[in-house]
Amino acid sequence: MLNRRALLKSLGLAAIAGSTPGLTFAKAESDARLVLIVLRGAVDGLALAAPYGDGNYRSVRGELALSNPGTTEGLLKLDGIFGLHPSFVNLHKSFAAGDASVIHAVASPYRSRSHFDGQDMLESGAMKVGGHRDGWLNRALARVDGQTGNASAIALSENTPLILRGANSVATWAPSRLPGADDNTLERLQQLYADDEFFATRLQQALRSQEIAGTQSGMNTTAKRGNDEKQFVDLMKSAALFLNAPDGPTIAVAELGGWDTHANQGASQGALARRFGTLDLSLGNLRDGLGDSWEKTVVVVVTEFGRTVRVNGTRGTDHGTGTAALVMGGAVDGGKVITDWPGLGSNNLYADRDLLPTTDLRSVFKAVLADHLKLPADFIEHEVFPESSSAKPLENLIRT
Amino acid sequence: MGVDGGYTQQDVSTFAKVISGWSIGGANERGQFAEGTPGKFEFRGAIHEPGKQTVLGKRYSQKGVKQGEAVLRDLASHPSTARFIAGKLARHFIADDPPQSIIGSLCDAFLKSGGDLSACYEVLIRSEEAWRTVFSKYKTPQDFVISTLRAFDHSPDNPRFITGALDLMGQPPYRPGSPAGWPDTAEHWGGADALYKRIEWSGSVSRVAGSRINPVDLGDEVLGGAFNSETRKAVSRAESLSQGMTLFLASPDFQRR
Repeated sequence: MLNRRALLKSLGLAAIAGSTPGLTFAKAESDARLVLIVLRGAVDGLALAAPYGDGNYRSVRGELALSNPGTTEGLLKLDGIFGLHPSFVNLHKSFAAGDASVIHAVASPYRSRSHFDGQDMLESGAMKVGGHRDGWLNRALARVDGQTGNASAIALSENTPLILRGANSVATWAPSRLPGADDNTLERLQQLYADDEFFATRLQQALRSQEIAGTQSGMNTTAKRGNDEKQFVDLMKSAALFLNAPDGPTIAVAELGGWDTHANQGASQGALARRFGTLDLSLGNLRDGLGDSWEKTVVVVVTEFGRTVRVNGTRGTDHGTGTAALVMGGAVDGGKVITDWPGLGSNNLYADRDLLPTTDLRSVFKAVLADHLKLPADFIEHEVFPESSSAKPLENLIRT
Repeated sequence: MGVDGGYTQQDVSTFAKVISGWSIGGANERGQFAEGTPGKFEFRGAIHEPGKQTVLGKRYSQKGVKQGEAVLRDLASHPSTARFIAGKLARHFIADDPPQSIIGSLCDAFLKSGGDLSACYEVLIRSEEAWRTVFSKYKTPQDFVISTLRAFDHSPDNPRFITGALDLMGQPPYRPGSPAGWPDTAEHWGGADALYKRIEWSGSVSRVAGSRINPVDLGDEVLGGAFNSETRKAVSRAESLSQGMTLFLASPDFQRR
């Protein structure tokens, strides 16, 4: 793997040296693939990556504490302090291969407890709720090379989530749950829409998306609602197809809910463990589906905020602050738990109940934009994340 | 008042105190709070925060339920509220990005009439902007589904027929995903996949209903002069009545209002 990476890098450099710098550079960089997964509902970061080596872990977590690495249903060891939830088999493999990192005790600047508002700030990149009407990733698209005639980003959902909403054109696609329209009708509609740009461009995008997704054998066109776990796993297969399509998007955004574990959260087994299993399987599918493109891919997995450190009266956890984020992919300088660990002692907690955030989530995003998508630092600082000067891009997150 | 209405978090918190005790009559599941008529407004003095309160810089010294009523009366006639409501009306009935002139007229009517919405509607109806023949609003999924059913003069027996369609098109009833409610602009509803879902749903509906109804006649009836002659031609040339109905329902003419 390292050899191929080195080879790609040397080819890229050769191309830059050989011709018009600007053009060739832009083309080489547009190779980078980015998948951003928004987990809606506030994921318990202490269950995702548990600090088993923190002396207070077992006492504060009580019945939700996970067993040490090496024991039955134990954590998957990351280092001497942290272990992944036992559901993350694929993610752990990537971590061991140096293709994944965990960023811990992170949070967006949001410091209250509303999902709507937390997601608003996570996705808009603003310093206050409603501060931006568009998403930070859409703003970033202004400097991302679009493929000719196609959007450079796709939202894998029925409506564009805030993070991708804004002035720059994005595609949307979600598996259809109705019998598809027949080709003849679609052709007639294309003619009917020809004089109306709004409809014409959208139908064209939709048809292109159908085409790409349709190449997946056994496509879940008849998938039923309620089976959203299987749907998400399949959706990541589709994501890989989109990102590998020659004239397809290079950035994909997906979202998965079901993390608001106020009751019966479970430890190594149970509701949250199943959800983690779905996420892990999806990440594995994405890695397998991307094939060689994995080397130039970064997958970022984030949530709006964390959950309370202590267990509540219904064997769950309530809305909190600090949590964990994941980065995965061949372009990740992985195998690390990146954290300025605040500790779980009662004096260390935020508002005496939450994991104290020590890393700004925007530092993760800014590093990905700068080091992976190669966007200029001043553009990121002024256009994508204004008011983020306190959140420096994380170093050593992406292979450079 | 709208997010930019000029209030602070402190105003929100204080107003919450002002209307503490505002409740609904009848006992809760644990048998507490039995006073009042179930389903009707009930002021519960025992859980009201007493004392004077300051909201938006004005001091309210009324007691009990009167205090909340006084604040609400002031909020309802506040210039920010007028501008917010005027913007919403203009955006909904005229265009995503309505002319400032009409917002100004609506705002004036709101303030002059003391917040009488009928006065605002009259301004809308009399305005030239609202009567432009070019339909500028892209229908929301709800507009689209309801206007389709109205065109067919059909009330489905099973409400799932409507809610299922709305789920599919991204507007699940009562779940807007934001406390501000559903957006009212094409920017939000104009996703490529969402349009594809409308086309597919049009196809399903047309397969059931379209075979019994002539889509050209239906178009003339529901759109009148707004039925574009090119669209009319395309619909009339469809290979089946059902296909024609799909084309009509998915046409820009019917997708806009």
